[in-house]
Amino acid sequence: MRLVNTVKGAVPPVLAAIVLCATLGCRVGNEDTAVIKVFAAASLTDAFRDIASEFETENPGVEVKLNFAGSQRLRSQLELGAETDVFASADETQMTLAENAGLIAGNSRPFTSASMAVIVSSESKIHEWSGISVRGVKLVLAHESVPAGKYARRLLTRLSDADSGISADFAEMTLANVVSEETSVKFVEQKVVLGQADAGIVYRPGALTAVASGTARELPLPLEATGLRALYPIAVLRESRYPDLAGSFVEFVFSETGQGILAGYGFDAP
Amino acid sequence: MLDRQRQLRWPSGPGGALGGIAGVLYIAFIGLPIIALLARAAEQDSFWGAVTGELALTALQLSLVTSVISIAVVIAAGTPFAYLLARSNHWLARAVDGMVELPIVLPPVVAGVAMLMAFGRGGLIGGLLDDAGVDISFTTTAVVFAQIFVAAPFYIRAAKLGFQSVARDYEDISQTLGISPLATFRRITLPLAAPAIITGLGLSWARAIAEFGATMMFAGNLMGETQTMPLAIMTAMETSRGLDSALALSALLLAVSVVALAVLTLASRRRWSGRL
Repeated sequence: MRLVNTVKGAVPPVLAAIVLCATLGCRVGNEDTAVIKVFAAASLTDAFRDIASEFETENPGVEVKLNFAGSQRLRSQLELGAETDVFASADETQMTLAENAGLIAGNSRPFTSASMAVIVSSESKIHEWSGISVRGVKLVLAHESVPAGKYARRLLTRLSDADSGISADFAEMTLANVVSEETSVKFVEQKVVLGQADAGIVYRPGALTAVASGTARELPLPLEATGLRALYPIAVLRESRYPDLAGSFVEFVFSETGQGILAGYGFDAP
Repeated sequence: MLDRQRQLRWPSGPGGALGGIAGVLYIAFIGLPIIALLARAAEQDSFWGAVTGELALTALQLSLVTSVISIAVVIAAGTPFAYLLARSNHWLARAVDGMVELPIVLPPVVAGVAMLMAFGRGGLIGGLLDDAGVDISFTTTAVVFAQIFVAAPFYIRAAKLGFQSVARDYEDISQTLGISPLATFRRITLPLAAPAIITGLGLSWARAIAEFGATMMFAGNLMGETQTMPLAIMTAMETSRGLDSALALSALLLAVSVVALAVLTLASRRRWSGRL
């Protein structure tokens, strides 16, 4: 009787283990479908979802699993041993760090680029880009370790230098308005779209999506600022379990279909 | 004293064996990551530099200040509320009783979104507050709000159970002896419920200082304003070569939490029974 109870007692943990394995994956492996994992910068979320589903349609039996986050988080996860097949970063810095850590197979290649944009919540009274330096404006940027945060700071420097009519300490005054430093550009967009923040500096594709949703406006920038571009490199990881498939995914991103999808979301040629 | 005279016992049969194995597994499961964290943190040459650095100290100070404020609010409002819940059999109290614990099961991120919808600028109340010139989003107040939201139920639940464990007869007798209800509460009920209340205090404070999801959603992440220890650890973790400093910060937070836990455990073992 005791033994029966012991066995019965073991049922819930065993069941729990099975459920965990089934939902989280235990590397038992389903050999019918090859799964490739793609770590991509948060700003690529919409575009890479489309690209992955097109890729799956063209390659039956292949499943693409996507993980989106700030490139610096993805790089940090890779360094800590996350197993993946493809890494698409929003800047060269994070890719170089991954290369230096010996994580990348072959060379990374730039596949797309994005310019920066200043967005304000639709209720905001700011109508010109210089308005973001006015005292009391709640400005949200990505943290400087995040590519979008790095480019945002560069944009501010450029804007300071570009316009002679602007106060010399424009960048400094604007940075004093920063109320939060987010870990992904998506959180910056979200805080502006929700109206929690007045303004944010994001990538143009993200700005277009926010504007299309009717909850944000994009502030036109002077010509000098439009030259600033985030260059996105992509590479296959050295530890990839399906290097060939991962390679064809990368090729697909470079293909007409892939580039067309990116352009559709407002990305530019590399 | 009594413990020493007691015979050491170990349950016989499968219960004892299974319990023993499970216990070892459990201790290893919880202990290994903590040992690994401390070992890796101690390995770093930059350990002391990171622990005493600006990032760590600013975040630690903010975490301590906000969590103490949060807990003070929770105690002030939670104690009478818990007493009411423990003593009332009104249907309204019963109904509220179930809802009090909702934040415990609510994922912190959901709590953050919910707080945003209520107190954020476009939120239910936030809009009115904004018109009145009050905007709490991205302020230290928002951090405290988030901490109270997630931490209060732990205290209220423990205090309620503590008060329930105090027989009503004691209070009645005290009052028939002419001692005022407030003095009875202070001298009879509170000391008897103290161990449970202090345990709840510990859980609640631990939850407040660990708060991450709701803070990030609702209060943002800015050094010295809203960047508490958990947010600083995450930010450091993602900076290149930031693992060292993330490890050091984690070890620091762990040490602070262990000290607080030890103090509270000692406090809850003390005899609180008051004198009449």
